[in-house]
Amino acid sequence: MASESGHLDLEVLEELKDVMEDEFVELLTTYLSDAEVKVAGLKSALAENHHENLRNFSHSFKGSSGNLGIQLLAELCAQVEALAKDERSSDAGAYIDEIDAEFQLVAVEMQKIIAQQ
Amino acid sequence: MDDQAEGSERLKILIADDNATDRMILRKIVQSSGHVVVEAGNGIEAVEQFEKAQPDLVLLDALMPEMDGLEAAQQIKVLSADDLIPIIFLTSLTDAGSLADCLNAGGDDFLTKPYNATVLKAKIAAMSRLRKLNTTVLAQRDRIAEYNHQLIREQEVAKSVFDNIAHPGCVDASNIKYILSPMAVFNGDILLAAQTPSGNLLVFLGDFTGHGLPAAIGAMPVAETFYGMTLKGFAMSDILKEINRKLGHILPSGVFCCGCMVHLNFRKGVVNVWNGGLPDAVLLRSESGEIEKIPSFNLPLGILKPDKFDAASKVYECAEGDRFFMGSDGMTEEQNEAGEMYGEERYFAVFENNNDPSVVFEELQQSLKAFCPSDDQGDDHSLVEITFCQDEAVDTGHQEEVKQSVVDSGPREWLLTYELRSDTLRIFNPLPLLTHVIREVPGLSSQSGDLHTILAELYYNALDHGVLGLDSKMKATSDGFSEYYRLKGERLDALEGATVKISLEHNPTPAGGVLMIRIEDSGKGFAYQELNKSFASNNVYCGRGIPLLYELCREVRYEGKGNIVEVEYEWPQATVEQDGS
Repeated sequence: MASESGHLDLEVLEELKDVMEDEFVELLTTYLSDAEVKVAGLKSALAENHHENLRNFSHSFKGSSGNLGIQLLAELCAQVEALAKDERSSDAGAYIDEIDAEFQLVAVEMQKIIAQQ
Repeated sequence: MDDQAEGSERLKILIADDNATDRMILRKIVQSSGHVVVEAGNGIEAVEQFEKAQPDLVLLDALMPEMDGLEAAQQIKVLSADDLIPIIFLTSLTDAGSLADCLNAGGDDFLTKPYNATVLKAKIAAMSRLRKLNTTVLAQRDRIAEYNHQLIREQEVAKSVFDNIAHPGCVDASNIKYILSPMAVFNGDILLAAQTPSGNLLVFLGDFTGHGLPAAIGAMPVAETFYGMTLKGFAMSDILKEINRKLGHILPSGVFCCGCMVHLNFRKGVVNVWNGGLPDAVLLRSESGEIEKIPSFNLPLGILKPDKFDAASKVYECAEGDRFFMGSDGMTEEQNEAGEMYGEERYFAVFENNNDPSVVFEELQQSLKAFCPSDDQGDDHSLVEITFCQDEAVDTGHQEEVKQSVVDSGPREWLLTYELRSDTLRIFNPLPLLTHVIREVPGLSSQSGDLHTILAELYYNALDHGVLGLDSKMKATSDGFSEYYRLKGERLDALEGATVKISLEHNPTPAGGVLMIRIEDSGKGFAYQELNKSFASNNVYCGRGIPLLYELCREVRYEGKGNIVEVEYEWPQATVEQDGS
């Protein structure tokens, strides 16, 4: 497995591949489709200034990203989660934009890995 | 795939996480250890799946939409009741407060994200061990409860069997007072009382070593022997010998029965006491208010071999109103809160300070109660009082049931002659055997009390006054009384060439029958010609029970030099005169 970029932690993915065996690809595609739902959810919660939804989406996205070793996304989600918890959702706009951009890059790299399997 | 975590069985594990990817990773890790997975996407689903699938272990995400993990954990813990279904919280929370919340909600452990397969497998294995331990403890708890239940049920059954066999007989007679624990049989205490065929009273108080079932088991043969032999007319010494023999045979070493047996002959004013291991029995004289202690001179029952066992009893003359007391050592050994024993001194002081003998029994109880007021253990002692009174005044309330045989069957016309010689006279009591023969006659089985009395009077007159030449006048004074029994033993030992010949003859009559009893002894006889005169003047022959014979029999004849007596007993009795003696 090879990747020139720093958006994925290849070591973690290697371990996951050992654990998941033939379900590794399914794990990655599930992550990608799930992540799209989460990013969309983050955006609409921000638009509605809905603290609870924002907190739930960011917490969940943080967890699934962390488990796949996608550290930067996980950290950005943690920032959003903290703001939502403090009911400062309106301050989270910049972070959510960054999450959106970062996810696009992660998705591209992940598609490459999927193609290699 | 099949590398099952060491020592862990195949578990059903519920994974509750709202992230599809997290669930996938967890499922894969868990399945690779050989376990079965059930999944839930939020807290509500988790509780539903828990009820439906009944998993052995739960992996629960702390933060989930709908219902969070903390609340789900609380509901799951309520649902699992006594069973330990471990919950491992899945959390990316790391602050101490949040982790503590997980444990307080019923979590048993937690696993932090990102997940590590090795750590999770080890935790599942650890929880599985904990679960097994809990299952074992619960199973043992249930088994202990079940055993205990069964033990109590068995004891109840045993108690009802014991109560039927070791029933206290005629202990509710109007002249007997007693206290006995309702569970006495399991405390090892036993109280038996029965009327002998000749109308005397035989009472036994026993105290087995130990408690519970082992102590209770001995009560059955004792009761059976006591009632069976008393009914058949055996003497107290024979009954004691048999009980001792039986217990010696049955009981394991170290288990025996302390006991006191008392035979009260109200008609003759004689009390026989045998005490083996119980505290001093007490005779309270009604005239003087003085007490006589009757200590134990014997080892308890069930210890000595039959040839070493001494069934000889102490003989006491008693008058109307005299009271006899015996109790188990539970009374004197009762302890107060300071651990001090009630003791014999306090016990006997009650007798000494008593002014009204009719309440001394109650005073004894009050004295004990005053000594240890916290009387929750007061069940552990037994005490009996028997008042000496005219036998006809005793309402025994309970009679051994006599089987009524069909009138038409059984021997009706027969003659039996039975001659006893010196060696036999010394040691053998023929009355049970003769009573048994007589009882076979239809119509006489219900009269066996009277007949036993008649036979006993005739036989002991022949033996004591005829063969042994003892003077009944000796018994008039209490010194003479004990001298009488001393001489009797001495002369029995020296007996040679003596005989007592007993003839029983039964002939039917249209309405019933007549039993003739003829007894001839080898003694010198007596001047029976003066009998009628002495009847009227003084009661010089009273000791021979002759007036009683006249009352019970339709004919009483003395023959020869007075060494032959013949009586006729008719049944059914012409007159129904039961009262007065």
